[in-house]
Amino acid sequence: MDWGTLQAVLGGVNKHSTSIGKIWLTVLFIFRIMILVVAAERVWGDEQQDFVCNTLQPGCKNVCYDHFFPISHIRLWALQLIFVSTPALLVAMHVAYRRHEKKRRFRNGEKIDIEELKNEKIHIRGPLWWTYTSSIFFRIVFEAVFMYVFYYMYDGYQMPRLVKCSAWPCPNTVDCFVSRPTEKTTFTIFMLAVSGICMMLNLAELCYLVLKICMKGSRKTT
Amino acid sequence: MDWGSLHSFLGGVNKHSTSIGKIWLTVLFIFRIMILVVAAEIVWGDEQYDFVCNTLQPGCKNVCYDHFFPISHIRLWALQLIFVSTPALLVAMHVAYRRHEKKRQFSKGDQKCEFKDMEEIRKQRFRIEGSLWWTYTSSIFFRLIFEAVFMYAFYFMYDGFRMPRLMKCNAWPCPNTVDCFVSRPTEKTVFTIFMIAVSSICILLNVAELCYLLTKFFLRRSKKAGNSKQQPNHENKEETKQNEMNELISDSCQNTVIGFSS
Repeated sequence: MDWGTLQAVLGGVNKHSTSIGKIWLTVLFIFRIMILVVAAERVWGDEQQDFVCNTLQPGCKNVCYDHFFPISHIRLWALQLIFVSTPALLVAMHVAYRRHEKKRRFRNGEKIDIEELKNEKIHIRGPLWWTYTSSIFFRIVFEAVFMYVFYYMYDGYQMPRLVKCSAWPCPNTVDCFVSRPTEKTTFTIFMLAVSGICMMLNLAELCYLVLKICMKGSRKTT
Repeated sequence: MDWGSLHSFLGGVNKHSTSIGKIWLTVLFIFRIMILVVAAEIVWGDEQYDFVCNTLQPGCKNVCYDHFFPISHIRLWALQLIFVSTPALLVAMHVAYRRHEKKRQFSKGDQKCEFKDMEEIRKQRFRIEGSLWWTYTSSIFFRLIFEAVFMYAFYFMYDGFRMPRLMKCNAWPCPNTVDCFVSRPTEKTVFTIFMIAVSSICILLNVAELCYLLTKFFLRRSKKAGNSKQQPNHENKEETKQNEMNELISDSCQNTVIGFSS
C-alpha cells in the first residue's frame, strides 16, 4: 500500500467529480505527492544524521532533535495528504452504493443494461450532492488544521540554521545545527503555497456546487 | 506517485501532439528523467555526507554546506522537469473536455455527430485546430518560459555551471576562514553540462514546434482568404441575376393580376 495505490483508489472518484475537482486531483498528485516522493523525502532523508550539536555529551543530540522536531515535516505532509484525500472516498462509497442498488433492481427482474450500469457517470444531484459537498467541506477543514499545526509546531514556516538547546542531559546551553535549512525552507514554502492553491480550488468548487443548487431551485419555483 | 506515473500521464498527450512534440517528449523522458533517476541521483547521493571542511568546529560543515548549496541540483532538476511537463496537461484537459462534449452529443442522439459508437469517440485523434491550437501553443509557450527560468536560476544560484573543488567558508560558527571540499566535483560538472545541453535541445525543439504551428496557422488562413475571395464574386453575380429574374416574374404577375382586376 503506497502512493500508487492511493492514486488508483482516487482515480475512480475522478470520473464523478466536477471539472474543478479534477483539477484539484491533478494538482494533488503532481505538485504535492510527486514532489514529496521525488524531492522532499531526499531533502529530509538525513535530517537526524546530519543534525549536529556542539557538545560531546552522549544523548544530548537525540534529546535536542526530539525536542525541536516532535514530528518531522515529511510525516506531517504524508498525514495531511492522506487525510485530505480520504473524504473523496465518501463519494466513491456513495456511488458504489447506488450502483449496487441498481444491480439489485436488475437482478429482481427490472430491465437495465449491465454494461451501461458499469460505465454510467452519475450526476451530482440529490443525496450525492450532499455527500460530495460534505467531502469538500472536510477537505478544507483538514487542510486548514494541518496548515495551522505546522505553523504552531515550528513557530512559522522558516527552518532555522541554529537551534539553542538546554534540555537535559545537555550541559547548559548547546548550539545545534540543522541540516540543509535553506532547502527545507524552500520546500516548506512550496508545499504551503500548493496547499493554499488546493484550498482555493476546494472553496471555488464549493461555491460552484452551492450556486448550481440555488439556480436549480429558483428554476423550479419559476 | 513517481516518474513512472508522470510518464503514463503524459503518454496520453503524445497522441495529440505534433511530430516535434513527440520527439520532445522522448528526449524529456530518456535524456532527462531517466538520466536523473539512474545516474545523477547517485552522483549527488553523498553530497552532504562527503562535503568535508577543514575544521573540528561542530556545525561549521552544516552551515557552509547550506550556504553554498541552498537548493541541491537534483531538486532543481526535479522541479524543472515537473514544471516543464505540466503544461502538456492543459492540452490533455482540453482534449478530454472535447471528448466529453462529443459523448454528450452522441448520447443525446444528435444526427450531426459523425461517430458510430463510443469506442470511436474514445480513440479519436483530435487535430490541432481552433481552440485546441491556442491551448497547445500556450502550453509550448509556458514550457519555454519554465525552461528558461530554471536555467537562469541555476546560473544565478551557482555562479555558472561549473562545480568548484574547493570553497572557502567564513560563516558562523566556523573559525576565521575554513576550506571545504566538495564531493565528486568533476562528475557533477559533467552531468550539469549534460543536463544544460539537453535543456537547450528541448528549448530548440519547442521553438521549432512553435514556429511550425504559427506557419501552419498563417498558411491555413491565407488559403481560406484565397478561397473565399474567388467564390463570393461568382456567387454574388449568380444571386443578383436570380434576384432580377424574381423581380421580373413578380412584376409580370402583379401586372397580370392588376390587369384582371381592372
